[in-house]
Amino acid sequence: MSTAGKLRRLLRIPLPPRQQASADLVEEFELHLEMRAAELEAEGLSPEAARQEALRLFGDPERVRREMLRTATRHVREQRGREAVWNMVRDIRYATRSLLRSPAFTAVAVATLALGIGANTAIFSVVDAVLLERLPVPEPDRLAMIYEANEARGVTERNPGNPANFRDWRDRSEAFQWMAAIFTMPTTVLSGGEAQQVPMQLAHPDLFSALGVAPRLGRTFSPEEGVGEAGAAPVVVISHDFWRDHFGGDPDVLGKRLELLGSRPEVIGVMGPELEFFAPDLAFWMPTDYEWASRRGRFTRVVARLAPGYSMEAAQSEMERIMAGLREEHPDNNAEWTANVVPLDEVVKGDVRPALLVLLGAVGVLLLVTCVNMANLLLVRAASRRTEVAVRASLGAGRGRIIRGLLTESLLLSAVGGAVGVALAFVVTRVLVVALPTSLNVPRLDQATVDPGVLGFAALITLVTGALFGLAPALDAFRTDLIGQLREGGRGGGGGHRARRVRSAIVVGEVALSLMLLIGAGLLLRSFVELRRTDLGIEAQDVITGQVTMQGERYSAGQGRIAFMDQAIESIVTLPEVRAAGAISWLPLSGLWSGDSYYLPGPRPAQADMLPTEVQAVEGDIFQALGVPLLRGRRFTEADAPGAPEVVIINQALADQSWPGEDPIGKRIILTWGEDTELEVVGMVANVRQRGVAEQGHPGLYRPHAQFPEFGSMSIVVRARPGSEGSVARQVVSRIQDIDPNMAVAKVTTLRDVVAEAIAQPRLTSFVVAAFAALALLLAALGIYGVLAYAVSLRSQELGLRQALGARSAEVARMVLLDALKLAVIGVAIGGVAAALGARILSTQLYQVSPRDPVVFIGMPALLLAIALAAAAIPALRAARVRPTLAIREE
Amino acid sequence: MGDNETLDLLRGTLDLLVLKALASEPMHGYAVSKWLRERTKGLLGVEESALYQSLHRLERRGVVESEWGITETNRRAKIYTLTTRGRQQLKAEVENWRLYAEAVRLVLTPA
Repeated sequence: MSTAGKLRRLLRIPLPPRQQASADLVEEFELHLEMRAAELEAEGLSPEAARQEALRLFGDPERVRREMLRTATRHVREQRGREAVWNMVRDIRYATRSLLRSPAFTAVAVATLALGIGANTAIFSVVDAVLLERLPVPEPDRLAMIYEANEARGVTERNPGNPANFRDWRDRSEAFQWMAAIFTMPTTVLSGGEAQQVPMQLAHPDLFSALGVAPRLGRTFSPEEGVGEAGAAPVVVISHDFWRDHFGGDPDVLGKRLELLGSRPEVIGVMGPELEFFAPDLAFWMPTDYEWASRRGRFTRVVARLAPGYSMEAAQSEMERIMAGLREEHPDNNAEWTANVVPLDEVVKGDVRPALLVLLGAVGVLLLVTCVNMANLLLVRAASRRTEVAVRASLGAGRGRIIRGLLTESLLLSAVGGAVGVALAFVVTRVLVVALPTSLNVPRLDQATVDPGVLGFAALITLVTGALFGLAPALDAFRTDLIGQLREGGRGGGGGHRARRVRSAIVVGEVALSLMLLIGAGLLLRSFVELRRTDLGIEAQDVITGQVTMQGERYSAGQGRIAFMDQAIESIVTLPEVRAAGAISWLPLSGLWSGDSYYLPGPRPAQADMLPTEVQAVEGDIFQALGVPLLRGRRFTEADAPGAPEVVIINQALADQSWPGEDPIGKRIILTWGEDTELEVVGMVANVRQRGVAEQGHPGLYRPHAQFPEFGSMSIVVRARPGSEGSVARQVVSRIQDIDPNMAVAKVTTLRDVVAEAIAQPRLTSFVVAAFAALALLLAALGIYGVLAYAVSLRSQELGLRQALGARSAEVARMVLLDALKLAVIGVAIGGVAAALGARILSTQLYQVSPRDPVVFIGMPALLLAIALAAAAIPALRAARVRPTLAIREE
Repeated sequence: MGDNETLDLLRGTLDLLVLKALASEPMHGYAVSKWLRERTKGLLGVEESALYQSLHRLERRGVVESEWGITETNRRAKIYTLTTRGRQQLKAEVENWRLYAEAVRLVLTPA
């Protein structure tokens, strides 16, 4: 034996188990070999030969030792594994039994977790699909849309641009590798004798190169196919949806022809479904290079891909330089206009991002409330089980085993809660996906599924929640000495100052977080009510609308369009259930309008000094049909025909812009549409919300369609007798097709639905946040109740003593209520301040409500305090009923 | 012990023999080996190390337990003892073995 070994033995320093086993074997074998050799020597062999023979008989000691060690290790490992599995099974069984013994606690805990995790997983799934997923094109972050803007005229948003400007951009820009203008318009497709109106895009042939996508079938446009009038080359590339719906997914679709009014273009390519995000519902693309376009009018949007080495910022400043040049070259058309480079990602997701982030924030706070509530429940439970823990410890259960047991319990709760939550998430995500697209333009929402990543996220929250709030109370249970615990009979346990402070902090946190959600929900709901109360300038009840698009030979001249519209409205008005009928170029609240400039009689001012206005063409009794009040003058009549004096009806905002405080009737304006036209104001109507519910006060004017047949598409508007909307809608369509069987009526809907759609997103956001807030409130109430009920049960002895010493029941109850109130007030103060600081992120979602709205900031805390007191009432009453004798006898 | 006149040990038989050896008294490995050699008159050919594998195997099964002790010659040695379970198992296996041997004998003995 080595010296080190001897020393080790002398000092009784144990070897590690494996080394110890190895050393034991060496010693055991050595003894054997020595004794065997001695025996052989006794039989007459030389010491040398005896040793040799002993080794031969034994076999290689080294090999045998290694083999035996391997076997032993394997055995130990198996045994440990079996033990661990067995222990786990035992822990889980014990935890299950223990949880089932308090079903109320278990149910509340599982429900709490399921709600928190379910809501989070669902919202996160949607956010994941809509915001986090990259657009399905190569290098999407190199793609942008280029818009024009005119700050001076209040056109700060993403206005379409002029196609001639686009041609100059294309020639002059170096920052962009590809640029392609697009213009979306409705068109009529004939199929089996039926006319169907679908959206199509006039696209520069470079569009698909810019996007970087290849067709699924066939090819895309060649540059030559863009030459000439729009749609001169009779070819189309169709969308995946249109291929599926119109051609039944026919693999031999290439070379087939579409039946349009006046042309039969050939299908040369089919795009994949990934372009759905770029052009939802689009049927097909037609090529044009826009060489035919003039410098008047802005209607194209431009898709552009950055050239290598250029950033969005560099591209923006290049576009600004180019536009500065174009302003000088074409002051009549480009004065004050600038260009705006917006990343495509922002264009696609920007509209819904704030709303989704609000939801994400709200659901995150809800999760916090959930976790705090869980912590609270587990803490109270752990405290009430200190005696049990102490007994188990004194009976010899290891500290590790007890902690593992408690941890298993909370992990088991989390697992069950998480499983229920994920199931809930599947349902909620499905419901969101099905319920939203009809009313909301949320891109890529249909892609929202509970995917593995999202599931992982849920699992993580679940486990962390369980581990954190299972471990903390478990460790806490050991902090005070066990003997003392036993001696006190557990009654003092959990009543320590420290534990009480922790529980108080939890209640305060819960109240604060709930108040934040409540205030957020209050602001959003108030804003929604304001939106609902807004005077839109129309009466939406009992009104139906549908859109007609006049295309082809028959409507190429203004007379054709005038004749059709006159006939259509005359025919519809004779329907018995129709009270008024008319047509308008752009429907109110559609977010669409035509903008132009006018000036007052006198010398023609520079473009920059002209006044902006929305321009509409109207037909029939449109103002009665929409319910727009006439404020002054008259409506249009049949006498306002082609050749008659040119007349115009203006809105209040335009009158205020040009003749504030004066009677506008009889005044004259010169509209610059096409060529300058002088118009006489014959009437003034109230303002109508054209661009959206929250957009108001834009100057606008209406011209009779007979004098201004400038629009290919018109929306028919029919006011029906109450309750007859459905039958009127069908009759209107059939009357229109009596006049022109090839005329499709698209977007047949009620004006009420148009209004509902316009406020669908705020409604959804506010209702979902309100639902979260209600849940948080419920959880907070549960939390307050739980903590107080527990505190009262701990103090029953003290309370009884007080009563025995003469305190009245009412005083005892008041004491408990005051305790609750104190915590709630602190929570409300913290939550109120946090909400005041955080409410600013809501400001983009609020309409006519300040982010610090006093009604909400006073009302919600009051509501919360009331609920807190109500939750405290039951424990308070119980405290008041503690019988002195009972409490003392417990001692 | 001659190389050419030993028998291969039937599987599991060594364990039985070791149990039997320990049934008389606790002993260390070398004593067991010597006991076996004497009782079988050197007819069973097996590497002596196999004995230790058997002892450790039996210990893992809980039929044998071991303890470091001192030999007559005052050497540290691992002493193996039969446990109660070991005794029960030995009894059962001896009975099994008798039946087995009898059956084999009946087959092999000419009628």
